[in-house]
Amino acid sequence: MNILTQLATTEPASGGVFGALGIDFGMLIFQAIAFIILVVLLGKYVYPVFIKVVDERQAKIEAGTTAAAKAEKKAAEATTEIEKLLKKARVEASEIVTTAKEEAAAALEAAEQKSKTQAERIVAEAHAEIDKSIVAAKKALHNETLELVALATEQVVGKTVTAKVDAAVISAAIKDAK
Amino acid sequence: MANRLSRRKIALFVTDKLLGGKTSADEVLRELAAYLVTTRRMRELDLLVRDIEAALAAKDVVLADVTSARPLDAAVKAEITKMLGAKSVQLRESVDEALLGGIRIDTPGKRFDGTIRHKLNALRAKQL
Repeated sequence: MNILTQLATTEPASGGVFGALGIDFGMLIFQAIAFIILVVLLGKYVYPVFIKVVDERQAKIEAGTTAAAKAEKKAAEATTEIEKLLKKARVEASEIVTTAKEEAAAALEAAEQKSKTQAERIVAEAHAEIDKSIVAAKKALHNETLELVALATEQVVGKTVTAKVDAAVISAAIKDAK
Repeated sequence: MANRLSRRKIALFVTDKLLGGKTSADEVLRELAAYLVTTRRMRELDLLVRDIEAALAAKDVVLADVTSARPLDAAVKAEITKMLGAKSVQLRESVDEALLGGIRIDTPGKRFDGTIRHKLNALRAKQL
């Protein structure tokens, strides 16, 4: 330090361009050497640390950028996939709805057909039952009429057949027998 | 014991005897009764009488049961006899008021029913 102070306070050498400009040549060389030494020292011990830190940071930044790009890409892919899935889901949902509608329509039609068949069967059975009842009623009426006619005839004939009428009946019967 | 005679043979024998005229009907019937008692065949009497009537009918002698609601007059009897168309016809008459009118004639193997009762029964039989 003392040397530096001494160099600074030294009187400039007389003569020459450097002297005219007030530059001490020796001092200049000294300062140049000191600068070089400083640069060498900085380059050997300080810059590598800075560069290393900067490199690491750059690497980190690059890694982050890459990760971000990857994430973005993945996000885009995921979005695409989601859209694809959504589209597929929409299509499937639409198909399901269509199928459900068709099945519902078919079930409704089947139920209507079944109800119609059942109704027709019930009506047919009712008709058959009514026909049966009518036939039974006609039969009963026929039988009762016959019985009444027979009874009435018996009563009337029992009182009205005279010997003459009886003879006529017998003659007719004999003729029939012949 | 002798061979058991069939009812048909007995009927034919009795018929021949009755139609032969050599033996009276009473005597023939007595013999028949005696035979039936002896051979313990009294239970066959009704069937045997029917067979005899059938055998007589086969020989053109008809015995007809005539049933009517009122007694028959001679004209009707003659008509019946003519209708039966046999060489000899004997009518066994009976009255049944339940017949209401008309006449029923039963001959061996045949029945003709021309009574009002029969017609009413036929009407009732037409019930469904």
